Amino acid sequence: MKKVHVSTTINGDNKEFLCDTRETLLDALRDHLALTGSKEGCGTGDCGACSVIFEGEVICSCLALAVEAEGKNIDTIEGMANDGKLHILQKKFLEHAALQCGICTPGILMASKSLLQQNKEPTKEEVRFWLAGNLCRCTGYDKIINAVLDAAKEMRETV
Amino acid sequence: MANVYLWSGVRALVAEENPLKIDGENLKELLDNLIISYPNLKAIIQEGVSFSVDNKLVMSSTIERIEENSEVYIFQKISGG
Amino acid sequence: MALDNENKNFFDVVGTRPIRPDGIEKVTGQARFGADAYLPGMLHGIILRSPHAHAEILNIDTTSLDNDPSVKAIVTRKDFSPDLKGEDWNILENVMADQKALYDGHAIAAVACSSLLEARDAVKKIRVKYSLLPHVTDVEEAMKEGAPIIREGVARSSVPKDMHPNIVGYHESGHGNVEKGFIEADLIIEETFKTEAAHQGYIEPHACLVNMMPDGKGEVWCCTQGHFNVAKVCAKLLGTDASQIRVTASEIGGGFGGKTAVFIEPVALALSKKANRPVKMVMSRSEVFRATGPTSSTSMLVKIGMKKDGKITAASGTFKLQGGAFPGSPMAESAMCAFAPYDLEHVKNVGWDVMCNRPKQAAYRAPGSPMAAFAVESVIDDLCKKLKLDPIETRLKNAVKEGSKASFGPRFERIGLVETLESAKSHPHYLAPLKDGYGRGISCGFWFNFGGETSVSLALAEDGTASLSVGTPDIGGSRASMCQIVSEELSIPYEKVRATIADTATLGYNEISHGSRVTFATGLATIKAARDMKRKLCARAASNWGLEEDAVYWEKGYVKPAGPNAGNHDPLSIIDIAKTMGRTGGPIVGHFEASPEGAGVSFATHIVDAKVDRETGFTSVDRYTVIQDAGKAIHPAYVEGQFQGGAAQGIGWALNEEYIYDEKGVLQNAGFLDYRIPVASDLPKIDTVIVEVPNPGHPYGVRGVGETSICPPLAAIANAVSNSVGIRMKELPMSPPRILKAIEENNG
Repeated sequence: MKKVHVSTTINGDNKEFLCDTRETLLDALRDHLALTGSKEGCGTGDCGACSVIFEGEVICSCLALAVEAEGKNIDTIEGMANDGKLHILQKKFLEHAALQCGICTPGILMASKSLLQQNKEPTKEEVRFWLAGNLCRCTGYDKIINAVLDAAKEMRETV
Repeated sequence: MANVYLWSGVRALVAEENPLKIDGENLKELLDNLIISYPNLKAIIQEGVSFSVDNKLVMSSTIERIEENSEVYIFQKISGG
Repeated sequence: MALDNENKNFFDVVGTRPIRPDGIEKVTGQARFGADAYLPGMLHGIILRSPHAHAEILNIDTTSLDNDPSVKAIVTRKDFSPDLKGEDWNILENVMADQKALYDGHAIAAVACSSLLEARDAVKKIRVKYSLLPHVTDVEEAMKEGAPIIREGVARSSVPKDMHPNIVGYHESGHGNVEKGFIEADLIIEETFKTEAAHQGYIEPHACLVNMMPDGKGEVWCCTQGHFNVAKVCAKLLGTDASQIRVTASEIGGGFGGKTAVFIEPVALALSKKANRPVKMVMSRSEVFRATGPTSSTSMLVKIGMKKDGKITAASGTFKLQGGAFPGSPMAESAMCAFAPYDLEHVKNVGWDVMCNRPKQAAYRAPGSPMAAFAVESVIDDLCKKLKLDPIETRLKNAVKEGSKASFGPRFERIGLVETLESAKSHPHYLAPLKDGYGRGISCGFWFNFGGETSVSLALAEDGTASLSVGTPDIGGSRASMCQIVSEELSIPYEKVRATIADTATLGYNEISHGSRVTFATGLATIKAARDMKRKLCARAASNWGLEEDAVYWEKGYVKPAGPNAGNHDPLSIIDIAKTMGRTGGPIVGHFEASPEGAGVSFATHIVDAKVDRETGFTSVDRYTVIQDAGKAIHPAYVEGQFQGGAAQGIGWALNEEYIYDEKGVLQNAGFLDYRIPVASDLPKIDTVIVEVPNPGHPYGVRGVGETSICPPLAAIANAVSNSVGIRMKELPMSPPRILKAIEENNG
């Protein structure tokens, strides 16, 4: 089958790739653009390890087709730190030991970033429900929730 | 001579009460001597065993030293996740 | 110098919470996991799996792929070593079926194509002719006369003669005379319990990238808990030398025991050998569920007798575990852990290992122990209730201490069960009033912990910094702990130490990261390697000064002359010695190779508040506290993480997670939608208390911590459910349908 040419914007950079129409956005990010920070845990939208921000909304990139990226703005984990400076969320995840194996971490960071863009002062409950689509098998979530709340606090104080 | 205690599941094979009196400077010698005294234990021991020597758990290393009158428990091999 | 076995009680770095050294890669997406590797010209491999629970394989027809240019290699069982025996044969049989498909998802053949999409298409074109056989997936059914036979002649010598061929292992241990003990009891409760299989549920599916050269040299990149074991197994299955297969462990996205087993690496190597190209293989999530190790499902009978004052007079348990279509379920572990927290005069543990048409069980965090604790701690709770006794006081009355005879044989060395119970008794959680409708449950749990083969190397750089190579994959932050240990021993800053997981060509054999062994064994090896380096630094300084080695001593990062007779020399720092080491004798490297034993058993007590909704059968967990003896916590934040993670997995197993097979023996819930692990909104804050009763077998007192935390939750929640709704749940998981059924039966 002939491949499709896609032009898109990822982490602010113009990107182009060729893909099969059956490939997912996650396949394109990982296999065509070498952005392997987004992970495939299930391929069915259940685990959230592939979370990216697509036109301002957090989505599972395994559920979007690669061709849907045409002309769109996509943010991935690789664009979260800026000029070598960690995002406050990234810093807080390290300080709170909010990761063990780290496979779910990119997806959880992207989902958390999206939450804090929409809700600057989430409650513990709101964080838990927002992140209910991101599975973590190592931590029991406690340190993740603390890291997100602490990041939200610091982001409010620094603005 | 060390005092050797087998798990109850195999005691029938040796037809003797615990403890068995077995010689050996370390666990390997002790196992060798145990099999010489009780040849029908050979298959079970080769299928894998763990130990405790004077209450220290020894999962697999047979160089563990045995003292005179040491208490050695032998049990089916255990493994972790 | 007595550096070698010196025990440390005061610490500068150990016990603090530095940022993990691999942290930045992990929060920026740069860490490379199993599926994150690519090679030029690589192919993609896919496995064809049996859709049947039990079937004879009559023919595998690949002729439709003969003229397909995208197909670069096809492998079946005949491409693997033909003369394996025992467990090696079992592993191969699980990696690729021979005569029979033994479970839904069993690998039958594999193909490699230029692209993943082509491989997915190609594998569908293979035609397999099966002859269906009757199947069995339930442990009790599999033991019955007339049950379908999985395989003949597998039974271990421990199994009494004339039993069903599916019964492949028997364990019996204990002491005293339980019949006599039961006569002394004021109350005896005997109950049967069942638990379903749960999957480890690591978020990263198994993945590898391999390259097999025509000369027999192989390279493997994969996510595994034990890359040395991968090299060993692959070499055996392919009939080559272990040293010719070099395995590099990727970052690992969770394992919990499930990545101690080998599944796809030998298949990828066989494909690569045929195609003369690198091959990448990544399992789908449904493959992970269907074909990789869940834990055993169980059927258990527990009987405990108690005096009115709470003293247990006798206890016996029978633990039947199915391990899938292979021998090796952790039934001996169930039997030996079941009553381990209690000091019993009369105790009998029996275990049965049974084969079924299910995937080969793999270790899952304290294999065997959580299910046994579920049964035992449920019965103890019912005894307490009927005799109107406090559950913690009763457990304290029977708790094992240093010198108590363990239910599995020997006497305990120094242990911390009583400390966890005392801590629970005074914990704000236990003292807090219960919310309306909630029940509070407590449970104890036990696990052995392990040592095993360990080899590390610690190299000094010319600027006085240190590079540590270990051979145990870092599952949950162990590099941080290792850097802390080196920093502690050498008195150099934590940031000046770099820890690397070395490949199999770089270090001696390292046992798998399993059995909670890494911080204990690799930690002990790191301490000894650092002390070896200190000895060499002292020797070097002495030689520089023209002194004997015993005329100098080590103090906080400096070598000093031992006394006035040694002359007047300024102390030499590590940096001073490192700077000149090239011309004063050569590189300085500390190392350690051994199989340390004495891992130190550990105990935990958990407290949970849960409430059952009588309308829906849904159980919500409102508050959870883990109290566990860690011996010594090197990095307390990651110890807490292990406590919380184990509790969360236990909560999932207790309430929701199970393998559901249909009447054809086909797995019905091979995905995260239907096999639902706890999500953030399902769980409360999991509070932790780290108890530190030092392990006499470790210079810092470290015990393993990774596994014990999953032992108490199943029972703790069952006890909370019983206190909330007045019903004793005897089957796991306590899912809404099961709870509703139990409520209905209770009302009926």
